[in-house]
This record gives sequence, structure tokens and C-alpha cells, in this order.
Amino acid sequence: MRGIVAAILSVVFPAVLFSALTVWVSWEGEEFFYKVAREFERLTGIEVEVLYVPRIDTKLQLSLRTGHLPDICLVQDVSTGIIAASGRAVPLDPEFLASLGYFSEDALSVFSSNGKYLAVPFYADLQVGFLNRSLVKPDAPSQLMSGYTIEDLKKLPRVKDDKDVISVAWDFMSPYVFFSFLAGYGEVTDSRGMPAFSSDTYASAVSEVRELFASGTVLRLERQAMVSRFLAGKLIFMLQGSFLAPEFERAGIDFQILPFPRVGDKSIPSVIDSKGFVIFDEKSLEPVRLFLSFLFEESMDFATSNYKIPLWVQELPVELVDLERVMENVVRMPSDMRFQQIYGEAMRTVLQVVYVQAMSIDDALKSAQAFAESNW
Amino acid sequence: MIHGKKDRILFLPMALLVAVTTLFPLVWALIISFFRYSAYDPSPVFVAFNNFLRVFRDEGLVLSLNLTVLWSLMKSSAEILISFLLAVRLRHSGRASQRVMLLLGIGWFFPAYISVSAWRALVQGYAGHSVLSSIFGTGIDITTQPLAAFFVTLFVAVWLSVPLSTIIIVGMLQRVSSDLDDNMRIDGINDLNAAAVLFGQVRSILVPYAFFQLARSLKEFSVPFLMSGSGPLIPGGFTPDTIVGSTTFMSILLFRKFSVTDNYGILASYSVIVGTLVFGWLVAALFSRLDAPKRHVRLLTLASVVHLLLGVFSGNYLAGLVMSFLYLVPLLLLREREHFRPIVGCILLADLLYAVAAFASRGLEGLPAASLLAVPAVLLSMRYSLRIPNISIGSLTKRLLTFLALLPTVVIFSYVLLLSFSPISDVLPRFKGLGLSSFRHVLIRDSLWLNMLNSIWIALLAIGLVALCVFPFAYSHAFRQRRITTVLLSVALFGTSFAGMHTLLPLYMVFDHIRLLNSFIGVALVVATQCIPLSAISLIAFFRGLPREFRELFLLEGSSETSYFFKVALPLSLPIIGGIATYVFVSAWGAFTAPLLFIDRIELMPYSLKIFSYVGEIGSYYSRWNLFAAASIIGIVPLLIFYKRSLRFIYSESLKERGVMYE
Repeated sequence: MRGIVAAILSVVFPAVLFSALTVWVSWEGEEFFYKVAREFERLTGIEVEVLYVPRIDTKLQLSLRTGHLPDICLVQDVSTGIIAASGRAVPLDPEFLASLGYFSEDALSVFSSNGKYLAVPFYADLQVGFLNRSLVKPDAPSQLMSGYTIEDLKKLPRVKDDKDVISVAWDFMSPYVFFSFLAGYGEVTDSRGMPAFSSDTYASAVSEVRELFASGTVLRLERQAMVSRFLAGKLIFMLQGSFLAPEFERAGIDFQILPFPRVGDKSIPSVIDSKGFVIFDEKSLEPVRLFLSFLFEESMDFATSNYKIPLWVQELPVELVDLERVMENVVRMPSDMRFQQIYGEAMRTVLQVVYVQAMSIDDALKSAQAFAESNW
Repeated sequence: MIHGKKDRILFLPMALLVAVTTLFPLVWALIISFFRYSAYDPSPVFVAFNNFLRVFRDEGLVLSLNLTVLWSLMKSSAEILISFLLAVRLRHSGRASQRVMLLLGIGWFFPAYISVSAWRALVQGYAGHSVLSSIFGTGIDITTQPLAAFFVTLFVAVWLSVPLSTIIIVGMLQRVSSDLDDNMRIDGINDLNAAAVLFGQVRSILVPYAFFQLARSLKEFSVPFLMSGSGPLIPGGFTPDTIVGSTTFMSILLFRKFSVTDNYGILASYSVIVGTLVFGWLVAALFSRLDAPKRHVRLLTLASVVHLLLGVFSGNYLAGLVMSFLYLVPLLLLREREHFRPIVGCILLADLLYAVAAFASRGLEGLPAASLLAVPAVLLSMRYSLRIPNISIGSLTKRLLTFLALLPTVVIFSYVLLLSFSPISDVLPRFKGLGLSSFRHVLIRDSLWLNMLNSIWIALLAIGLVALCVFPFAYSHAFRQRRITTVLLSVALFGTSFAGMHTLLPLYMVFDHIRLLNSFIGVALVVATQCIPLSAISLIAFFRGLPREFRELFLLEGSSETSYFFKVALPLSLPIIGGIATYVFVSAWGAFTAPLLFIDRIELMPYSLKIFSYVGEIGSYYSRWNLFAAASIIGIVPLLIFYKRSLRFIYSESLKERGVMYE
């Protein structure tokens, strides 16, 4: 099939008509993108220059102002606002998108602005729960049906009674993990799209989640500490990004991915964070379409082995069944970089001062609201 | 005196460098400070003084400024003291000294990302245990304890700065005649007094360097950011405009401002304040090299101006006015030496007491940053004599202290090495299943050596640019301060003090216009510009210290100024040049932002960008610690080779001429 496509392409679109396609990527998959680019070149004769950029948001900020942009760039959903404001992205019509795959309205919406689609969704990462199965009895995971609570986690029968093994941990002071809890308690933003720090949602979420740590139900560990303990078999359950799963596989950890646990009667969604391809050069639209089409064809293994939700298909592959369960209850961060930055900085401070009891919850949230109002 | 049109060749290259890389970005950024130019504005929107009003009402900025000045003073003082004592110990060229210098350099060569992570593992620990907690039972948590974050960051920053300062000071000490050692031995002068004598020999270059390091510390970013981010909140730090933690130094504040607003105008206006303060201390570095009474006049005036400006800025109007006036009083008594020095001493004491009282009563918010800057500047200018006890330190104690100074480097190196041999990616080293797979991956699969070659090119070009532009300029300015060279130096110094994301955009436009994007020379130009302050300040002070008789004799014989520069001045400056060349090489090797923004082609990617593909985007990627460690180990090899070669210059025999008397 590939050979036929290549043959048609090389006749219909001679390589000599195009200069190289430039593609900027980041996050996982550097080798994968190079491999796909080389294969595409071999089949079509269209040269593709892939550039892996370690801090793509910093580079993009400058490039959007100067206009020195690649043909395609892999971006995060939160960059949609500034990309739209720059006016440099090529709006994509439904026919173009349909030729590449099936994209749900939800997947497209985070890359939209003023009714225009600005990027082709590629994959999504999720915040999930990781359970180390080797530390609990074999029938334990089946006890965690949908709607399980943290108390259910604490009650899981262990293989060994080792006091050094922690039941449940995550970083209370991480605003990104905490966003899920906020979303479970109510509205996160006000009518302006700003974080609603002074709302009851925030007060209740901070108070009740803080209580989990104060009572010793959950242990607070920083990210590196959590990962190290999990790898060393000293932590049964933690909340982290699904992008860690390949590391655990490489380390031979027997793990299971779970949705976030409930807190009391509150169902806590997982944060989903999408990546997509923005196209900056209208003249390259056709070779871009060919390249992306080829890329999506080749990407299913990449998605499954890296535990990423492929956004160009309607049905998820069977290897991602655990992630599919998580997908039943997800929430997205507002695709506004201002929200991310203001929320991130202020919320981290609120959680830190509340954790060490340097300020009351009310005072901390009032200060956060003042910060948000001043900087929005 | 240097005169005539022919010697314009000495400062023209610097003029060109500054014109290309500094002038337009500086002017553009200063103008943009009167505009709003965020990601949501297609073009800049004029807002007059709104940005500056915002800066002046920001209570958080005052806190951050006070915090930064306190931290910087502590950091640079500790750094210079430790480096000086180490340099005194290592100043004689010998196998042992060179080995110790090499080992010291290793700690400096590792990317900050991995060495800071190593320190976090040592101090705070991961998974609940750290070396410190295991040995001393400490419960340090830099994510929740403001003081812990402040002091741990201070300690790590000092440790990372000591190698460069030691190298530079060893270079300075090479100008001291070996006859002095014999004379001190004959006179029975022991270690502490000997150190004081040596300090006197190099103070004219060491003091400007110390001020330069203080100025540089005011813009310290990587270590505090990687170690603790903004740090735990300090009392009064949750202000509406800015959140101030115990390590929210000014550079981190600027970074946060830009992240939140993405507004070049706001960033530029904040940078005016920060840049002015940094520039003030670079100027202090230059003033400190002058002879009395010019030195006293300029530094007292600077102290007065700083008190006035910072007093107004922080709302301490009365105190600022009074202290500002006090520092001007001695200027009326310049000719009366017997009164002048005691009166200045009293003013310094008053300033110090005022600072202590203000801090005691109002905490960090009340700390007068101006005092922390003015007191050291004027104190070092006055050169008061202190009675130092004539104590000898036992040879075993000296070895132990040297060992303790090197111990952190050995530990960090061992940590990184273990990580690099680890089969899995974890921030804690493992002792099982060690192998070379990570090295094979980075060298062969990822062809890291190609990126290293790119970095070597950039580094050599940067050194060439500094040699071509800064060396002759420093020589020219050392002997004759023309208006043009003073303006040039001021623009260069203020440009580097003021630089940030707001100057990178206009620089990008300049480079685009003259086709320097996607080129090694473009990145090398940025690196060379960033190295101007250290190079210029050190060299100006050094050239001024060269014996005047050499030059006069040379010129009397009919040779030109340029000929003297190349045949005499440069060779005599080899020790300092060796240190500067190492500094430029290491700066180029670690340069990140310039290549990130100015290079779009994979074949031009330098080492610094390549290894960050193993780090990834923080928060949405897990760092490949074993690969990063392997890449770091491989990456220090070229640095070590270059450094070893530089040590030959630093310990250059050409300066050890018998009978040469220095100032």
C-alpha cells in the first residue's frame, strides 16, 4: 500500500517542486520523528527537516513575532491563544482535517479560536494514578472499581508488611495535579476566564484535600521522590503524568494505570493535555497534508508504546484500555497561557503556605485573587 | 599617553561589536518600556509611563531587590574569600596545584541542571533520605522552609563560582614576584599575614573583580531557579503584583513577569531598575581601580546616589535623603587627610548600624539595600589597615581545608558518573546493573560528538572575538580614557546589565537583517558580548598595573603603541588571559538561549541544546537522567582539555621576572 501511495505521489508531486518541509517538534519521540521523516523522504522524494527543540514554547514566542516559523510545529493546547493572536497560523478547513483522520469536536476545540481550527490534534497525555501491582496481592487491583476512594487504596492487601512502603503519595503543592481536584469541586474560572480563587470551589478543595495530608492518609512527596520510590518498589500508588509509563516499563515495574480516586463524594477528573500540529505556510499545505497523513499512519505504535492517546482515530487501540477508562472523566486546562501562568504561580504559593500553615486558607486565597486581578 | 589616529585600531573592533549586538537592542528595549507589547498585541501600543508606574507600585519588587542584594553580597563575599585563600594555596605552579585546579574545574564544567540536582539529592534527598539527613539528622526541606532554601541556594552558588574566581585570582597572583615570598619568610611573616600581604599586592585588580562578581550575582538565575524556583513564600511576600519567595531574586522575578504577561514593555521597564542597579556596581568596579582621591570622590558620590535612588524607590525617603547627604560630607574634606578617613569611617559605621536597626525592626522589607552596596564599596576604596594576627596554619590543616574544598566536587562527580552507568533513568544512582549503554546511546545513536564539534567552533569563535575586540580596547582604555571609549564601555556594561528576553527580540531582527541567523558566528557574537564585563574590567585593571617604565622605554626606542601592545602587554597578561579564555569557553559551551532562538538547523545544534533533549519540557516529560549524565561526562572532556592548556598560561613563567616591581 505504501509503495503504491509513494509511486502516485512521486508522479503527481515531483520533489523538485518543493523545498524542504521544516518541522519543529518537542517532548517525546525525537528518534521516531526523524525516522518517519527519513522514510517519507525515501518514499516521496520530499525532503523533511525535523528540528527537535527542547524549549519549544520559548522559541515559539519569539518566532511568532518575527515570522521565522517552520512549515509545521508541534504545540501544546495552551499555546492556542498566542498562536491565534499572532495571526500566523493557517486556518484549517474541515475537509483538510477529514483527510487526515477522525478528530472529535472536543479534541479540535482546544486548538480553535473564533470558530477557526488552528492545529491538527496529534496526541494527548493524561494525569493518572499509577498502582504498583507487585506490592499488593494479585486480586487487589480488581477491588478498585470505578469510583474508588483513597481509603480503598489504603485498605489494599499488601504482599509484604513493610513499614518502609508508602501507600499513597503525591505532591500536594503541585498546582497541575491540584487542578483535577478543583475541577472535581466545581468551576475553576470566573466569567472572564480568570482563576476564581475567592470562590467556594477553591476553598473547599484546598481544605478537604489538605486534610488528607494532615491526617496522614496521603504522604506528600515531590515528583522525583515519588518516581524514585515507585521505581524502587517503595510506593504503592501515586498521581503523575502518563508519560512516565514507558520509564516504568523499561524498569520492569508491574504497574496499572487508574483514574483519579474520589475524594468523599466528589468525582475527580484527570487533566488531559493535548499536542497538535500548527501549519504556518499556506503554500506548503499539500506536502504538509501528505506528511501528516503518513505520520499518522506510522504513529499508532508510537502512541501505544508511549501511552499517548491518539487523537486522529475514533477508537482507541486495545493496548490503551486503561487510558480509555481514564478518558471517561477528563478535564482540560483553559487554553490561555495567562491562565496557566497566573494559576500556576498563585496556586503553588497557596498550597505551599497552607501546607506549612504559614497562612490561613482564606487569607491565602484572597491574596491569590488579588494577584490574579492585578496580573490578568 | 596613547594618542594619534593609528591607535583607533585598538578600540574600533569593540565599537563594531557593541554596535552590532548591543546598541540597537538596548535602544529598542528602552523605547519599548513605554509601550505594551504582549503576545496578544499585533503591534506595540503606547502606554506612556504606565509600565513604570506599575514597577514603582510593586511592593514585591522592593522585597525582591532587598533579598537579591543581601544574597548577592553574602555570595560574592564568601566566594571571593574562599577563592582567594585557595588561590594563595595554589599559586605556585606545581603538579599538585595543577591537579587541584583541574579537580576544581570539573565541578564547574557540569551543566547546572545536573549538578544542582545532585545537590538537591545531597541536601534534601529524594524518597525521603538525603546524605545530610542520614549523617546529621537534618530535616531540610527547601520547598517549605524559606531560610533553608535561601542558604542552600547560597551555598551551591558559592561552590559553583569558586572555580572561576580561583582561576582568575591565581592568574592575578602570578604578577607577584617570587622575591616577595623569600622576603616574607625572612621577616617571619606567617600564613594569615602573608595572605594579607598578597592581598595588598593584587587588591587593585581583585577589588574591581569582586565588585564585578557582586554585580553578576545580582543577576544570578540558573542556580536558584533550578534549586528552588521562587522558593517558599517569605512574610509579606504574597503581594498583588508579585509573589516573593525566599529565592525570588530579581532575575527570577523578571522571568516570572515575562511568563505571566508575555509583555516586552513590562519586562523592559522592570529591567531598567534591575539593569541600573547592576550597572551601578559594574561602574563601582571601574571606579575602584582609580587612584585616590578620584576613587574616593566617585565611590562616595555613587554611594550617595544609590542611597537617594533606592531610598525613594523603597519609600524610605527620609533615611535615603539623610544617608545620601552624609556620604557627600567627606567630599568637603578631601584635602584634610587626618579628618577625611575617620569621618568616612564614622559614616560607614552609621550606615551599617542603620541597616542593622532597619532589618531588626522591619525585617526584609526594611533592609536598606543601598547600605549593603554602599558600605563595601566605600570601605574597600578607603583601604583601611587591619591588624591581622601573625598566625601560621599547620600543613596538615591546610591539606585538610583544601580537601574539604574539593570534597563536594568529588562527590558530585561520583554521583554523575554513577548515574551515567545506570541502566534505568532515576535521579538516585544505582549500584547494580551498571554498564556503558548510556554512553553508547548518546555517542553513537545520537551522535553527540557532532554537536560537541559545533560547540567547540562557537567557543573558539567567541574567544577570537573577545581577543580581537576586548583585549585591545581594554589596553586603550587603561591608558587613556577617551570619551568614546568611556561611552563604549558604558554602553557595553549597561547593555549586558539590561539584557534579557526584551533585548533578544531586537537582536534577532538585527541578525536577521545582516544574515547572522543560523550561524556559529551569530551565537559567538552573543557569547562574546556577554563576556565583555568580566574581560574588560579584569584587563583594564591588569593593564593599568603593568610597570609604566616598560612602556616608556619601548616607545622611546621608536616603537608604536600597537607594537608594544602585541609584543609586551599581551604576553605579560597571559595569566589573566588564560582565565578569561577559560571563562569564555565555558560560557560558550553552556550557552543555551542564544542557540535556542537563533538556530533552526539541526546540523548546527550545539552540545548545550542537544543534551537538553534528555531533560525535556519540565512537567510534561520525564528527564532521562542516565543519558543526561552520560552526555555530561562526555561533555566535560573538551572543557578539561582546554582548561589544562589554559593552566599553562595561568601559570605562565613569563611574568616571574626577578626584580620587577609592581604597584
